[in-house]
Amino acid sequence: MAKLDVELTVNGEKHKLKVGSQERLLDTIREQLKLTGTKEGCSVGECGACTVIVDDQAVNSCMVLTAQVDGSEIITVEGLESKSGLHPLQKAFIEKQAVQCGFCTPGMLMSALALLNTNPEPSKEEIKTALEGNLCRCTGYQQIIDAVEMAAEEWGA
Amino acid sequence: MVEYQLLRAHSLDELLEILDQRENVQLLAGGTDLMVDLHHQDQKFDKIDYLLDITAVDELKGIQLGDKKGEIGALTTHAELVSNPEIKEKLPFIAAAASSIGSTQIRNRATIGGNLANAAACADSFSPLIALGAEVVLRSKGGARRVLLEDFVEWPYQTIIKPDEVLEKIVFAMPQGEYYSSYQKIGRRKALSISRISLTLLAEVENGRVKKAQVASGAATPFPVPFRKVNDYLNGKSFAEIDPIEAGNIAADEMVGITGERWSTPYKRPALGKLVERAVEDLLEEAGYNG
Amino acid sequence: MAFKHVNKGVKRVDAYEKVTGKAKFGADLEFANMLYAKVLRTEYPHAKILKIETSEAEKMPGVKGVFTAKDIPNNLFGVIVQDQQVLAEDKVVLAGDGVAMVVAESEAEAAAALEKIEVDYEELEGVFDPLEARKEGALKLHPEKEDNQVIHHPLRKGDVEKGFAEADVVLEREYTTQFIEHSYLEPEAVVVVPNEDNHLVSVYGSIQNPYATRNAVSAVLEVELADVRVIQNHIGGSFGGKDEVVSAMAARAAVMAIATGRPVKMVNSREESFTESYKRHPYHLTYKIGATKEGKLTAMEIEAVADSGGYACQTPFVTWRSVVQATGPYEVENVKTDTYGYYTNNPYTGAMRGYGSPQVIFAQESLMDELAGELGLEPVELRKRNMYSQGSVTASGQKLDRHTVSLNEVMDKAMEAIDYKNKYEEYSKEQSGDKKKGIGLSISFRGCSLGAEAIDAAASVIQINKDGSVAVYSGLAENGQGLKTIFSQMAAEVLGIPMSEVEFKELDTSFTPDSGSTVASRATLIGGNAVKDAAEKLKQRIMTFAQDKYELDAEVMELKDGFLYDGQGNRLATFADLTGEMGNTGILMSAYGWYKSPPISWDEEKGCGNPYFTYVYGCQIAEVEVDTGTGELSVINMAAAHDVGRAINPENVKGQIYGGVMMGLGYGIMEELELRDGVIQGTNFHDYMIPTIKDMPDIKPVIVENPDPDGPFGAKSIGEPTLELGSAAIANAVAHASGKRIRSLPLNLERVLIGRALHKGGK
Repeated sequence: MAKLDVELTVNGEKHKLKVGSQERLLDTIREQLKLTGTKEGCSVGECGACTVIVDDQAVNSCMVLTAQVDGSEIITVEGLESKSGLHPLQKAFIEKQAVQCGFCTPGMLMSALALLNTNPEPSKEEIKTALEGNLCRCTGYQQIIDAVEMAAEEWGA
Repeated sequence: MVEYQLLRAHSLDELLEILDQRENVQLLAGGTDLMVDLHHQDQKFDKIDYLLDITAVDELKGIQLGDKKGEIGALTTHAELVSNPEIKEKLPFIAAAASSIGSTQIRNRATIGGNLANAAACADSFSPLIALGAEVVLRSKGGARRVLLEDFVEWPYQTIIKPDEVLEKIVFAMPQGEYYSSYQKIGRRKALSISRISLTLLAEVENGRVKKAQVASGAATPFPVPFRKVNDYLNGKSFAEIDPIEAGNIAADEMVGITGERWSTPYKRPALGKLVERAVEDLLEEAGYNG
Repeated sequence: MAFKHVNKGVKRVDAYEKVTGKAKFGADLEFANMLYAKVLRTEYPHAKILKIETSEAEKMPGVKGVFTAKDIPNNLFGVIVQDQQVLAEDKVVLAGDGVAMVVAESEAEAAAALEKIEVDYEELEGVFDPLEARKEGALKLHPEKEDNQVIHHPLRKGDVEKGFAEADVVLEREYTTQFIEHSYLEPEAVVVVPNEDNHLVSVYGSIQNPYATRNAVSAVLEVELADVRVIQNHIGGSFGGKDEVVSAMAARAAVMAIATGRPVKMVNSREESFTESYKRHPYHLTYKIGATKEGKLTAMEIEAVADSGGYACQTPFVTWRSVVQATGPYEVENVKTDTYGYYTNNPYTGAMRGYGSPQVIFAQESLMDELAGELGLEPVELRKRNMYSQGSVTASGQKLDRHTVSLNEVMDKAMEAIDYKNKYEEYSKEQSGDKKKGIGLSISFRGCSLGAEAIDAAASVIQINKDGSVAVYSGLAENGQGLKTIFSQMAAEVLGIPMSEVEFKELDTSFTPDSGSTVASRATLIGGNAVKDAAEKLKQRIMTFAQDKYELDAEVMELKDGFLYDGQGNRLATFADLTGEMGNTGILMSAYGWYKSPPISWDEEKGCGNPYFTYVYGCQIAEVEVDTGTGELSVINMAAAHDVGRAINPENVKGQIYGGVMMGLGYGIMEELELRDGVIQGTNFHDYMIPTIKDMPDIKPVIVENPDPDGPFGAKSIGEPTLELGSAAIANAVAHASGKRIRSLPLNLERVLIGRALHKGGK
């Protein structure tokens, strides 16, 4: 089957790629770009472990064919840390013990980033809505909420 | 093994041309249903030679609400319905239904057209639109036709869309005068939940009387239908004449009349009755009737 | 006592890797020349295998090998009973048993080849209910065994007939619990590399218990333990779940890696994970309880029947914990308890956080509220009149005097945290409208660590490098719970160095000492003692050296903040210089730590003895709102008070509490693996629902500290106690709110509204 040409900007870097007709954005990120921070937990859009940001929106990368997002800008968990250090969200997740096994963490961070990018002062309910598609079996979510609240404050300051 | 050719349409003309020229084309929009089928290597792909991604077709996007008429493009995402200020103000039950669907990630991708065209029994977009008396516009290269949404679904997961047609938009008359609405949903958890039952009540009222009521439910019946007996019960009645409990009983009987006694009936009968009762109570309360 | 690192909410040592995406989990691993493998699993819960035809599959593109049971050197394994097949040979006993496997150049090619394998089965009648399986003449699942019984644990104390005769009120109740999926977010994944670093096979992946997996792989391959190396680092949750199922996966991959001479990777899809993995045991519980009208318990008679599914797995030990804890934390003179496990053709059941306690606690704490109602006593009052206090004697005859029995304290603190008394009073009044509020509580005692199940010991290694940096190794595994951090804190505390000087290293069975499994909430307690032991040995060596060097008494000198102090506030040397000098003078700067638990005992015939050397106590309270019109149930607030001995990392302890409360909430109100004749209905997260962030109540964690004489720095356990209490507290709150007692889990929409569950296709 002929491959399709797509161009993606991932974490600020442009990539020209050839993708299969059944290739999901998740596959491209993990297998072609070797960015394995994005996790596959259910493959059906229910767990959010594969969440990345596509053109400013949190998206389950298992629910999108890569060819559908040709030309898009994508951010993965690997795009959070910069030369100036950890992103406020990452710092807050460490500070608030919002990480246990860490498998849901990349997806949580992406959903939280999409929220704070559009809503820098979210209410607790808005944080919950932003993260409702990210399942976590370890933390019981409380410390994740605490972390997002802390990041929002730090970021705004 | 699943095999198909992936195509991408960039305009409505191109989309209609492809549908006209090729056979066994499956449209792909937000993908939140189809990608699940793909993961399961579902048998439906046996009959699919082309997967046509329509997400870049701008003509299928947008929300326009006038005084008399409203239109929602098929590619409108649930996230857009939730955040659109006009929808929130004029048709809050549509925003409420959209916000109850899936999760933020799902709502960012899933479209209202996709939800209707997939036609799951539990699809949450139907009841608000049926309550509005909405029609869908089905367009092919040869032209367009309008079909009442309540006639759109033949059976779960089966609609009357022809192979060369695309669901272009949803059109409806805007409710007039004084009107009230209620959207209710029961799920098994508070997010990421498939409807056990959902319900929309929309009523235009005048001088303390129900002028036009529309009650529709999702997941209560195999495919969504308006509850005509409840509508008949409410229409023309003064607020004082309306008994919410009776309305609930009528709805519950009507549902069982459609579905017969099923394994889920012992739960759904009282629960649906209760939702209708509450929707009617909401209506009376919002309309300022204090019984 | 003032601590520098212990008892502080220090940051997790593995958090940086996890928030940057750098942490490599099983599915992220890649090796040169790697192959991919997939397993063909049966859809039949019980069938004879007549023929497996693999020739077509072998011809498929990319295929490097197709394997069946005959290719497995030793096809049976198991931690307790060796009855689990690596691949089914003549017979499948559960839907999901592997029958063949394919290794190929890509996952897609392996999957395509699987479809070409033809298996002829002769379907057999199945047994899907342990109450059927136990009947005389029931169809036998394992023909070589006498009957379907996996295990029976009796416990006898006093004379229950006499006890019931003394009672003014006798209640008999039945309760049932459901199959539960662990729902770790990471599906199982392993990579097995052959002939790496002088090992026949190296196993990497999402492995909860590296030594158990090593045992299984070496037994299956029929090679020595030293030939098998298991390396464990990051694992995406386990909760007891990545033991036997991952051992089977590793053994399969090892067979294929040896056959092909290439690394073999296996990653389960979520559906494969649901199909193949073991579950939490469903229980059928019968309780009879007697009490005087003053509310003094006189007798309890208990029968608990667990569904073991197709294999024994952990059933013998899971039901043993049940027999020890079945009465709950109450003084009862006369007790007769029997717990059983039976084989069925359902998915097999094994370890899951709680391990035989959540089931009996749901029953026994629901029963206490029912009894309180019968006696006209408040639930708190009935409990306080009967619960353990210092020096109480348990049902098995153990006197609780070695540690602080803190039930009263945890209960009072939980009640205070949630304003229990006022809410109880308020919600006991008539409530108008459909939505009713209620509040309910439950309490427990829980034996720490393995108890009399097995030898209970653990080891560690600490190595001080010449620059003063410190490497810590443990034979127990990080499962996400925070073990790396806790052990690092303990090492830093003893050695008086900053946390930044401590590096916790990955577990590698080729050089970390066998410490048993990371189970039973034993890591902090047993493994922590081992880390502390190693650190103390090194500290003693350092102080002896310093005593000679500085001619100061070792007792007055102090290691603190990376320096040696003279006791007068003056720095004598940096830790790095001092230990570097020691190394250069030929002193061994590494030490093994070892800890073996204090003596315990169990008489399997009579069910008596001292089964655990210490216990933890907890109380959870749930405040709910019940929609009596729709059956919707909201848990609004929960308080969870747990005595942990000492919190090594209080923030971490809170994380365990939040997480455990939510897992308990899922158990209580929404989770249920639905089966039809042994076949799972729905194998992904849209069918099997776990709590989302929106389902979270406001949770008030209360850490209670009564340092244990046997715990490292006084620490005991927290992982499992947090999830065992919630379901009963919620059920009691629902009964308080609605007046309806629900005796089966979960408390879903149907049970709350109409009092019974409905099943698709059911009547």
